[in-house]
Amino acid sequence: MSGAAWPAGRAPHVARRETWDAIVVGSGISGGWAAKELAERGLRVLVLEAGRPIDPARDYLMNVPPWKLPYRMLGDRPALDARRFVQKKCYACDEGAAQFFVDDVDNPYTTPEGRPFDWIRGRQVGGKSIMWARQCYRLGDLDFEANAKEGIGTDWPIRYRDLAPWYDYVEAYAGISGERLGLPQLPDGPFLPPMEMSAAERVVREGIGRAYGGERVLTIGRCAVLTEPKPGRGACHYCDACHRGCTTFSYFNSVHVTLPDALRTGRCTVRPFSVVHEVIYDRRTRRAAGVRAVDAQTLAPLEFRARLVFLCASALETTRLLLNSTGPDGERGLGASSGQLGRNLMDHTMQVGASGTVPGLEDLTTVGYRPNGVYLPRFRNVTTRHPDFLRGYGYQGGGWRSRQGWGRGAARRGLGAEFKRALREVEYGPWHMTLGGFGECLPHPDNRVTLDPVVKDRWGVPALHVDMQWRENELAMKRDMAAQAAEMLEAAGCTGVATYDNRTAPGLTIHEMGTARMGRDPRTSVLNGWNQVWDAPNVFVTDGACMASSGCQNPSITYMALTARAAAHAVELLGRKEL
Amino acid sequence: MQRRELLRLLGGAASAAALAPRDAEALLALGRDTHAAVRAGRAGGALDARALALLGALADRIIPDTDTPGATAAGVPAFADLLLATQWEPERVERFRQGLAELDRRSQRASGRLFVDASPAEQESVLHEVEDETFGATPGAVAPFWKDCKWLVLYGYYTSEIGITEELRTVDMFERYEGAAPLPARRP
Repeated sequence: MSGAAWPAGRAPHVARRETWDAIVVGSGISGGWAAKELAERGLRVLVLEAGRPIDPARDYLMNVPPWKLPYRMLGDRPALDARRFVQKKCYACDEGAAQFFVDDVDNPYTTPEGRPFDWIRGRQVGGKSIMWARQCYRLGDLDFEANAKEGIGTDWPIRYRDLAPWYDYVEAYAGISGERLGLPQLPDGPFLPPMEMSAAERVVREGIGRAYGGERVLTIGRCAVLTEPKPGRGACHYCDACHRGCTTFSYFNSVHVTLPDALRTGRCTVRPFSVVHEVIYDRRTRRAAGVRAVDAQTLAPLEFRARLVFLCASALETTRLLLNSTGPDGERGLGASSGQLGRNLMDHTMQVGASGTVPGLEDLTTVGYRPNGVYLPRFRNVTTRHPDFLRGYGYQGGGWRSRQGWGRGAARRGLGAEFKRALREVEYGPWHMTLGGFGECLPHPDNRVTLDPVVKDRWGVPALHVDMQWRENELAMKRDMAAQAAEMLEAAGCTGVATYDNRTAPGLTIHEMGTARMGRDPRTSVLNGWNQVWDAPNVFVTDGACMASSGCQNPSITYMALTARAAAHAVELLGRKEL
Repeated sequence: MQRRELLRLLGGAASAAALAPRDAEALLALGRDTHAAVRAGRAGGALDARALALLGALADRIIPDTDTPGATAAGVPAFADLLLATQWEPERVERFRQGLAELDRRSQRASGRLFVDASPAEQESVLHEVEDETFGATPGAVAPFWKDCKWLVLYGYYTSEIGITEELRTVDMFERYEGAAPLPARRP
């Protein structure tokens, strides 16, 4: 989308009296899909985004060389310490992309003493879809059936067959590259050609194959980056700077893929600077009537009316909005009648695994910068039962040849022309290989968010209090994640293998989900099988808040599929006058 | 020049001695430094004009002009000054200033001249001594400063436009990825 969608830097005028067919709150990966699907299916859609508009021509910094950034990619540390003290923990919050992460002073939240939660957020048109890590893995029936089989949480109201056609639909449109493996626990899709694996990754893949047969397979990451052009989007040029915004639109995000298609229908308006803080519930109709918001720039109160409301504000922002709304009983909390709103917060464990050196391959290197790693699908508790924990984990990682960086030569003796000449040459070190686990997190009712009774954000909206901790099952699984990574690397012939566990706090994986779970029963869940709030069926929640279990897969593609499915259903219900 | 800009430069140049009473000579020096800084168009403010000149001279001994421009031509002193002024802990900045002063003292001992006024050979001789003390078996007191200094010069150079486009000729858009390619030929 060009900046012409709205006047520079200002929100477009949206008539207050107008009743929209649908309001979509949030313009990230889920909101973009909701906008496109609802508008393409004939509805008049208003997208309300809390943050600023994004113009790729102005805001995408992928092509900016280091010398054009004042701190040459080191980042402005004091500024980060002052205003992005949480966001800076995310690897992607670098000097070219820090602008896409929220200001932690304006956007406070609280945690209990000694139980940190790192809440990483993006508030702008496109949300976190601008700087997401683009990995796309389907859930399978191993995931959808797990809660019911183990008696944990609530049973998902859907199975893989319900979502499979929607996975096909969103993957074909978004463009996911990857390798088909035929594994039931990680179903295949209509993938674009896979990216190449590196020499080291091929060695490790073969080694793991020899040691474990077909049970464990190392494959190239399945990622939302084009390996072939699509209309209006170029194939990847391998600069590995996606998170700063891609000027050839090669990876998928809402700014340059879904929202432009939504706007192209002529039925969609995107209003940035619209901080939605409440869903208006009409006790007479037992439906939502619209939303209340604050203009982020003028602080003027705003109200928008619609027949449908899609909440796609990100898992915790959506739940915060529901908690801050009034429900059927006149109490605070729309969708809270089950007592489950805000509960069962999940994230994946990560940054635990092993690294080693792949010997040899001295006459080989890589060319280009691949914005993707390798993946090793879940193998625990698939066909056998692990004694120490439920569920499982997948690995992400990569194998690359080390070479000197921009500070080259700093740690060694040398001066003058000869030194300079020597540093001109690329010096190749050994090949390294790393595998880092992403582990499933069980839904636990005491991992929860509530409204902080005191703290408010810059716009006067009550802040969240986030109380989450890794529990026994997650911690037991992490030990296995480290041990198995080391065992596999050693089996593949790596040397100097060492395990690691960075002990990251929940949240930092940025796969936070749950808190408004789907279910089969309004007494134990917040949403039904079509993502409708039981207490207000014209309100749909299709972002990560809806998840009944976490799987171990990167979840965005599931949010896309659920959103497209829910949008189609919503339009059908409207057509049948059932909403 | 904007008044705001002048005040910023004055503040930066004076930062080390800001709390000490200023005599006329110090004020005069401050004025000279400020004017020199304005002429140099520098953006940082941690180093005075004399320290900046010294840093430029030593940076050119590490990365001299050859078939491609060297460190000063690539703007290394201004970049280093910006990091020192805005990013580094005050103690580390002070150690850096002391380290530069130490180079002047060594230069005066060896040749009777300030570092900037010494010949390139004399400058190199001072720096080789510092290199020995930094990378030798038992690093000397100068080592922490010199490691910082060398990193600043090299990082500043290899992230500069000259460093990337002329010296390294780095390609950042290959338009393909190959996972197992032969090593490229060395540059002639």
